[in-house]
Amino acid sequence: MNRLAPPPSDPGDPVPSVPGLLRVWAWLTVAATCCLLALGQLVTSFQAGMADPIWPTEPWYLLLIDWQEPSPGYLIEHSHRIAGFLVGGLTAVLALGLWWTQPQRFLRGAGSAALLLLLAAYGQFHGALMAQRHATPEAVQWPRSATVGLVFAGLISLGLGLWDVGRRQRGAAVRLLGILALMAVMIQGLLGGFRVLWDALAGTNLAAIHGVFAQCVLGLLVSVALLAGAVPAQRLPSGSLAFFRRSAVLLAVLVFVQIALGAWLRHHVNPLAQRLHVLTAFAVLGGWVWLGTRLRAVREAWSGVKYLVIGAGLVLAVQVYLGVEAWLVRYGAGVPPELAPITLASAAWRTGHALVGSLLWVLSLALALHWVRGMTTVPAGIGTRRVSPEGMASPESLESRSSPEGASRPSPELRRSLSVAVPAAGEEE
Amino acid sequence: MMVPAQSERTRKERGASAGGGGRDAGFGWQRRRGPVCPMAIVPVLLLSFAGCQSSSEEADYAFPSRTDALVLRLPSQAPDQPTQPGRWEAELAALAAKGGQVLSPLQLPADQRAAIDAGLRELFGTPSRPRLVSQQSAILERLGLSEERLRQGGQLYRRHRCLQCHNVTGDGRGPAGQWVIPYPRDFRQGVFKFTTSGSSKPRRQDLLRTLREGLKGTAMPSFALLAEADRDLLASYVTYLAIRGQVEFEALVAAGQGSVAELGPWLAHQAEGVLRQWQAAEEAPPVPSPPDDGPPGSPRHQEAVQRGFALFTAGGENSCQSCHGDFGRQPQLRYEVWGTTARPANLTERPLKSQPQAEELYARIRWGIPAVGMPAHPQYSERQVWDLVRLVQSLPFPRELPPPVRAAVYPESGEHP
Repeated sequence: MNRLAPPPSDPGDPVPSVPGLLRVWAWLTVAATCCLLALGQLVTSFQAGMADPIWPTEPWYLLLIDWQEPSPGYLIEHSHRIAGFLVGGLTAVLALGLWWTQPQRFLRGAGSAALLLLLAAYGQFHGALMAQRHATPEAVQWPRSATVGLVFAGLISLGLGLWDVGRRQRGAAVRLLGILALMAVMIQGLLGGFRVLWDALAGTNLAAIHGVFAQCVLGLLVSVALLAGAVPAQRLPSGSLAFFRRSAVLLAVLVFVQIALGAWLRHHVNPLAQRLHVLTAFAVLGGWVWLGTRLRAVREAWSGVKYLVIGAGLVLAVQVYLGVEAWLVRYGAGVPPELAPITLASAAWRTGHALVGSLLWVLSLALALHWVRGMTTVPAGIGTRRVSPEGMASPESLESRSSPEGASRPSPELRRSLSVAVPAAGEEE
Repeated sequence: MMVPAQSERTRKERGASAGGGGRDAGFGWQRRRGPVCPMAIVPVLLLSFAGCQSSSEEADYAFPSRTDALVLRLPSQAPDQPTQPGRWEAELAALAAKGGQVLSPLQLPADQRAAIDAGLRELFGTPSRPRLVSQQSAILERLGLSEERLRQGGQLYRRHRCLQCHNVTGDGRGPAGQWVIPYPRDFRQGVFKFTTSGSSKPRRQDLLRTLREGLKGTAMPSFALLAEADRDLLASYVTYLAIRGQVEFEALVAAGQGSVAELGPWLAHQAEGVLRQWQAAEEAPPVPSPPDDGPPGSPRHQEAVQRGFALFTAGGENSCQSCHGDFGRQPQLRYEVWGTTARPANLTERPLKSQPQAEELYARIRWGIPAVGMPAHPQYSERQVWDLVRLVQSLPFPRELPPPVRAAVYPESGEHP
C-alpha cells in the first residue's frame, strides 16, 4: 500500500535554479543583513541616530577621525553605516550573479548592463551628496541628473525582470527578487541618510520608516536565499495546500504588521501604536499556535515544516518574555517614556526584543514561502542554460519533467534526489 | 491523461471548500466564511483608539528636582584624561578629591529642597505651561519670553526631540546624552561657549546661529530646515531653561550656605538679576567688522597670517600654544565649568565646532571662552586679533599659508623655513 495516496499537488523542483556558490552568497548576504539590523537596533536603543549629523560619509570614515574622545553613540552609528555599505556590496554582487544565470544571452547582457547602470547612477547620486556633506541641509542641492539616471536604470531593470518572469524563464522569480532586493537596499540606505539630513523636518518619522523598511529588505533577501534552493514537492490535496498557503501568507503578513508597529513604537510615543502592537502580538501568538496545530495534524504537511514550527514556538516563548521586559524598561521607568533612561541593560532588552521579532518575521516568511514557492518554479528542462558543477541535473535528464507525464513519473535520477520516496512507473497501485 | 484528471479533482475540492461549511478531506478542520472576522476587528479597533488622545507634547509634569552635583570650584590641575562616556556623575563626584568643590543637592534638608522646587514652580511654571513671572516686561518682550511663546517653544522642544539630549530641564542629561561625547550642553548655569557678547551669555543671534548651523564635530544637528519663526521660539525656550536653571543653581548654593531668609522674594530677585544679564548680552556692542585683507593666499592675507603666526607661537603665560599644543594636535585638556573636560580644538582640522566665521573667531580670541577656561586677550590690539583670526582660518589649508608658516605647521610637507 503506497502511503502517498494523493498525487503531488505541487511537484516542486528538486534542482536549484541557482548555482551553489550564489546560494551560499545569498545566505552570506542574509547573515550580513542580520548584523546590519542588529547595529541598527542598537542605534535606536541608544538613540544614537543623530550622533553624527553629517551624512554621507565614506565607509572608512572611522579610520580618518580623531579618536581622542570616545563616543559610543558615534561608534555605533558609524558601525551601522559600515555594515550598510557591506550589505549593499554583497547585494549588488548577488543581483549581478543572479542575472548571470539567465540562460538567454540577450537578457543576460541587458539585465547585467541595467544593474551596472543602476549601481553607477546610485554612485553618482551618493557622490553628489557626499560633496555637499558639510553644507547646512537647506543649502544641499538635489542631484537631479543622478536621480533621473537612477529612476531610468531602476525602471529598465524592473522591466527586464518582469519580462523575464513573463517569459517563464527558469529562476526568473529569483532574479526579479534580486533586482528588488538591490533596489530596496539602495532605498534603505537613502532613507537612513535622509533621516539624518532631514531630521529637523521629519524628526524620527523617517527613522521609523527606515526601521520598518529594514524588515522588507530582510524579507526580500531571505526570499532570494530560500527560493534559490531546491523546492520540495508537496503531497497534499490541493485544497489543503491552498489552505496552508493562504494561512501561512496571512500569518506572515500579520507578523510583518506587528513588527512594523513595533518599529514605529521604538521611534515614537504613539498611544495607538502602543495598543495595536500589544493586540497584534496576541494575534500573532494565537495565529502561530493555531497554524502549528493544524500542520501537526497532517503528517504530510508536518514533515516538511516540523523544525520550523518548533523553532518558531521557542522563538515566540523568548519573544514574549523579552517583550515584557522591553515594555517595563520603557514604560515602567516612572518617567515619561521619551525620558526613560538608557542603560546597557535597557538597551539590551529592547534590542533583543526587536531582533527576535525580526527572527520571527523570517520564520513566518519561510513558512509562507515553503507553501508558496512551488508556484514560482519553472520545470528545469525549460530555459536551463548550463549544468552547474554542484550536480545540477542535465537538461536531457530533466526533459521528462517538462511533460505532464514526467511530472508524475520522474526519472530515476530525480527520484533519488527527491526527499520523499516517489514510486517509479508501474509501482503505483 | 493525468493532468485533466488532476485539474478536475482540484476544481471539485476547491468547489467543496469554497461552498462554506464543507469539511476538507481528512484534516478535521472546518472552513467558515462570513462577516465574523471583520466584525471582530471593530471592537478591537475601538478599544485600541480609546485613550489615544494623549500626546507627549501636551503631557503635564513638573520639572524634576535637581539631584546632580553643583560644581562650585574646579581643580587647579588640568585633567589627565578626556571625559569618559556614561561616567559624568562619577567624574563629578571625583572632582573633590582632585581639589575641586562640589555640592550635592541631596545633602540639603528635604524641606529646603521642596521649598526651592515650589518657589521655582511658582516663578517658572511647568514644562507644558512655562512662564517667567517678572516685573521687567520690556526685557521679557525683548528676549521673547512671553507665556505664549514659551508654551509654543516648549512644544517644539519636545516635538523635535531636543530633550532627547538636553533633557526636560536643559541639564544635558537626556536619555541619549550620556552616549555622545562631547556631552550635550547643560544650560542650567546660564553659561554658553559660543557667544559674541563678550560674556558667557549669548546674544539671541548666537543661539539662532547654533540652531541653524548645528555644531560640527558634535551630535548637535542643524535645524536649518525648520522655519525661522520656529527656531526663534526654540531660542526663547532655551533662554527660559537657562534662566530657570541659573536661578535654581544659585538658590541651591545659597541654601547650602544658609544665606536665604525668605525664599520667594529671593528667587524673584535672582530671576530679575539673571534677566538683566541676558539683556546686557543682547545690548553688548557688536563685533567689529573684519578688515579687508584680500582673499586667502593674497599677499596682504599672507602677511596677516604671518603676523598671526608670530603671536600664536610667542611664549608666555596663557599663550595659544600652551593649550593648542602643536596647533591643537597635542592639546592640553581643561576643565569646563560643568565639571567635564574640554579638548582645545585641533586647529589644523576643519571644520571647527562653531563654524569659522571671522566675527565669531574674533569674539573667541578677544573675550575667550570662560566656560572652558580659554582666557581673554584684552592686551592685543584689534589688528593683532584679526591677524590671529586669519591664521586660524588658514591653518587647515596648507596652500593658504606662507611657506615658512606652512613648513612649521606641516613639517611633513618637506618645506623648510
